[in-house]
Amino acid sequence: MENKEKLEIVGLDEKPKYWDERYMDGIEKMTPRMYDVIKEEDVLMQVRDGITLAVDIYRPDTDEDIKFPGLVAFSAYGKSIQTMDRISMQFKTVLFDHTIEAGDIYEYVKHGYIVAVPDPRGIGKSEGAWDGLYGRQEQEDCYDVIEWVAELPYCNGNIGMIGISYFSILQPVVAALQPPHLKAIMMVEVVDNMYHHNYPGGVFVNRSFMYTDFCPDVNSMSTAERTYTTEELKARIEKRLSDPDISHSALYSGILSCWPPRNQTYFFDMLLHDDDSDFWKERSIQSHPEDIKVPMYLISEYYELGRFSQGPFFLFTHGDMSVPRKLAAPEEHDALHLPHRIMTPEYLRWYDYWLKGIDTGVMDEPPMKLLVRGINKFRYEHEWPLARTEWTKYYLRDGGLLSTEKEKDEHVQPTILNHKSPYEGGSNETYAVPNVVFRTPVLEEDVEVTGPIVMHLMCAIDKTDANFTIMLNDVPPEGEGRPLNLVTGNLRASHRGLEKKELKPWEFNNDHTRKVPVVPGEINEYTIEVMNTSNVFRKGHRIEVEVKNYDANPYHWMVQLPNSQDIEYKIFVDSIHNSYINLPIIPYSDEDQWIR
Amino acid sequence: MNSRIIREPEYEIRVERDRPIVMKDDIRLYCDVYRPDDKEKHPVLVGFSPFGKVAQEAGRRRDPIQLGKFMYEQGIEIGGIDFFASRGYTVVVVNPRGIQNSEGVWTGVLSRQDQIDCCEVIRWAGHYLSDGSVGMIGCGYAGKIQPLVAAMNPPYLKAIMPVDVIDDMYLDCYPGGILSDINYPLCSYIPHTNTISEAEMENSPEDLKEMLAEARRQPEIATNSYYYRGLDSFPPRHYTWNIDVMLHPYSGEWWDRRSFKDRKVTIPSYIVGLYYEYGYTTISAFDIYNKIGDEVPKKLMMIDPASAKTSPYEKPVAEQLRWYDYWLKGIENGILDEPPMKLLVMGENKYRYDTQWPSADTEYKKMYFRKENRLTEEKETGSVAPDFIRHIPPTRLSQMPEDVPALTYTSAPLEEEVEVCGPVTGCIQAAIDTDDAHLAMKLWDKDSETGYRTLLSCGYLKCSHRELDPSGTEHRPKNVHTKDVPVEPGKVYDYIFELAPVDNLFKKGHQIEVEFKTMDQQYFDFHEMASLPRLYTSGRVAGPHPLAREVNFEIHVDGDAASWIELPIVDGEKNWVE
Repeated sequence: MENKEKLEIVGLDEKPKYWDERYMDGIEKMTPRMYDVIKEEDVLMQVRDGITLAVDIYRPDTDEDIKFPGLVAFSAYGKSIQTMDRISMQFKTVLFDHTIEAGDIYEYVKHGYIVAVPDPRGIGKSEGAWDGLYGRQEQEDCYDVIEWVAELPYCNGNIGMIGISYFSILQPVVAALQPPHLKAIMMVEVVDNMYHHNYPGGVFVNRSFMYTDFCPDVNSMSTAERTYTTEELKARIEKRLSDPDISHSALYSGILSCWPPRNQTYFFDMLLHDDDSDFWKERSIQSHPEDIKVPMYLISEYYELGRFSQGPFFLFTHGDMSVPRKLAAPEEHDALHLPHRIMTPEYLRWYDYWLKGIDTGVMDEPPMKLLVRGINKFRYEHEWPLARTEWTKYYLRDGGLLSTEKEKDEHVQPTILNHKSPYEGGSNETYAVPNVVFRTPVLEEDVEVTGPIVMHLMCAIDKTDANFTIMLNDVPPEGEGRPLNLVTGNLRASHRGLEKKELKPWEFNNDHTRKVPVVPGEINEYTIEVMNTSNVFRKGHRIEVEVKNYDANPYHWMVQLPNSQDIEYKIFVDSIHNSYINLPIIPYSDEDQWIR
Repeated sequence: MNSRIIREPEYEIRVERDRPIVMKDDIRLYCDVYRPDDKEKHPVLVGFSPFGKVAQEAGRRRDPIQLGKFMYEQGIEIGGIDFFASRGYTVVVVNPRGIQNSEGVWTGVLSRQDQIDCCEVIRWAGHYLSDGSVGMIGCGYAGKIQPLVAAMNPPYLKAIMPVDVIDDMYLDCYPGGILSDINYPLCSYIPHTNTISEAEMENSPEDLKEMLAEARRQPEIATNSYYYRGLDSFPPRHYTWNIDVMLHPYSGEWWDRRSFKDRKVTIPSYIVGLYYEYGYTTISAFDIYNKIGDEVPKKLMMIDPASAKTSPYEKPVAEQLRWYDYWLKGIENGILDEPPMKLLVMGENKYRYDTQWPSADTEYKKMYFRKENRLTEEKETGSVAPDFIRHIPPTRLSQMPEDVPALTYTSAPLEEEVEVCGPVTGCIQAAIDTDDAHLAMKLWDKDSETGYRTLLSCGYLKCSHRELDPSGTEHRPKNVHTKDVPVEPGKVYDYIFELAPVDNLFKKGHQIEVEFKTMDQQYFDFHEMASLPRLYTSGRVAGPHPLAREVNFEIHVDGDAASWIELPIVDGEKNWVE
């Protein structure tokens, strides 16, 4: 069969960029687009403690005695908007909405799936009090919905999960509870560690504020209020409010000053738990990946900030390695369109294989496919970090140079970064946050960086704590636009690791469970996770490392909470105290790795 | 502007936190009291803001940060707490009902409940704390509530000086009758712990469900996930303020509860306004000033463009001290000797005095839309083809806010400078191919050399609200917003509506530019709050909601039916503030 005919079966005019013509066998066996859709609204079901949830069910309209697999799309964004009448809209356009993320529901049903979209407890018309995102309550409720869908008379008992972002982040923690009928999962944007999603390296980022807008909770209570005694809760709030970085913010101190703490209960939980703890482990698959026993397909976009570029790679390399898994990193976030449709053919190919038992060929190709930024091409890989990586230290050098050659002089003066409190001396230009940058000379040939990245900073601060923001930027030639931020890493100085450890090039040594004040003036080595990326720095470009307290460029949607006092950072660049970023340089790739 | 010497601070400040105030129904509100550290009683200044007292306390920890800059925060509404307390005023900052640690249920912006509670706070502060005199401070919400409360004549309240006021809340939430989401973010910035909509309190569950279902059938709501999901929840307790806004799409009693309209204020009032390019706050400053009787001592100051607002907003503080020193402390400082109005003239960036608004020497001049994007004082002669524009709903075609289709009409570069000061009216002569549409008109000051445009004013109309209310006047048209009157497709109507008022000096060589759009959601400075996640500005832009249907417009520019904008030209002698 011609590839063109195969594409017709999945309802496509042209081959998606992420499909290789060498691996198109099996598509012809997939269920073609053939069913009309029945929608049942507000179907009621009970979870284990008797709370009633409202579920929307979409299923194929057929008289045949045929049973279909089920796909569960679980989030607190509101079920009723997931099939709102609109085209797939581009990020940043008028009326674009981040919360229409369940995916192309009608398309799945047309290809022979049941799709169930519940409202979690306390959301929409479901009973009970909402507990926020990804906690044990939500995991168990999702488990119960999965088992309930499996028992529906027209369901074949095989369940998968769909949806991006929130819908995806929930999948591994639910799979870890091992609901018997959950047979496979597939994620687009997945997070391995919720603490670092909200506190990258211990530095607070206001990412979760938006969930107040996004989740129509009619009744909610924070996990903190459910968990701690009144005295303990009050003491924790008091302690958090004593952080001057918090008390300078009207918004954050205002939320923390509500009693009982019922304003933005989820964001309250995020604000309150500023160190890593069991609160976060319960929500993070990083603490128990071995509990996942079903095949998983891990897809990420490239994000400059947060865990979306970390989660898939963590799950790909951890847990029970007998579990089949695939990984793809297909696009940059600004290319996002919602409702999400770009990966639907891949979803169908995955779930037809695992839930319908059709050999769609999805497991034939190599397990990883990555978009390599800079050259914008897809490539197959097998492992992470890549075995052929040449780990190369790029040293921060005096005068803003970034060089693979180490300083030889032990008397070179440190580079000074002066952080200024944004609350003193008037208005802050968002593009003019104090920073220091280190740049390579103009590259004479393309340099590919693919893999995890760690910064080693030898630094003294004049206060007892400070935030670090490290940005890896691709600097185009003069006149060709501004530097592109590829990835950002953070660290709170009081979270530095105190024990000496032998580190592999992609490892770092921090302890986020407590804050140990820094002795002002003392030189410490800070190891900072700068996240995964894949980028070719083109000939004529320069590699840049930027160090600052926070980044407030308007093109980001979220920012690190800055330190509220002035801080002087001495960044050491001499031959004894050398600071460097360890870059995974990829010297070559085989011709047949590139997707055709 | 405040060249007079500000008197020096003389007191240390003592702070009393969380003092309870008992409301009429035994609900307790909590307030912070900032007072001169002595044994005397002093005049009291009350700040009543639903953003809560902790936000105001945070404001004391920072130098003012300009709107749109990093860490600007809208919730900091009470400026000058320490300034006043150190100069012999006791400042009371309250958590309204249902906010932070105050008891009870928050029932929405400027509710009757908040107005009654605020009177009780004034009574308590007057009785227990003051020397017999109370005033009020604050901007935003803390400004808007002042005239509403003053009209209820609480004891001890001797004078008000609101920064920002609102005459008609309906028009703030429904500019020209079109549902707008510029008030939507309030729902997440206000630290309420307990909130119920008035709709839920006033209707049976059955009736409420019917009201929600009807709102969900509105095509603009049915395609907007932010609106829809709240209305498809029960009980509707998510963003209750927005639920109430959506359930009250027409002007009427519900809106009048939180509007000034025909209320009477009889205590000395100093209204301070800013030039916002959107919303009804700016026009309300002029209108409320004009509605207060001439027998009442009153003043008006238009103090800043919106972009110059800061958190906390400290610019008005020195003038507030003069006002309250005069009325609450009896200090003769000459504040009533100067002309009653001080108006910022944008473009020139200086203040001038005036005695009335619109100014006595105002001449209204119509500028007509012409072919080839021209804007002139003369119409086309004879018949020319109309201009066309097509509206495609953004849910049918991805549209970046800056790329939304627009028709632009631009004057020749001005040969001499022109001050445009006063109310602005627009008229679109148009035919549409359906029974309703949204109209947006925007006025810009364009530098012909650089091409840089400054937005001065916007106005909107839902075509089915085009009928003119007899209470309007020639230069202040008012549309009827109590019902929809469908448009006859293909018929040309005069759609006449008001734009936000301006005071702008167009410099020589600048151009007057008018833009017509069919939708106008965009990145307002107001929402560029860098301290908050950018989804408001990246995924969600704010403004009147786009129509959910496709519409083709014929905009008439011919001799018989020419679209126009009417500008108030003030050409007389100017009394500049030294």
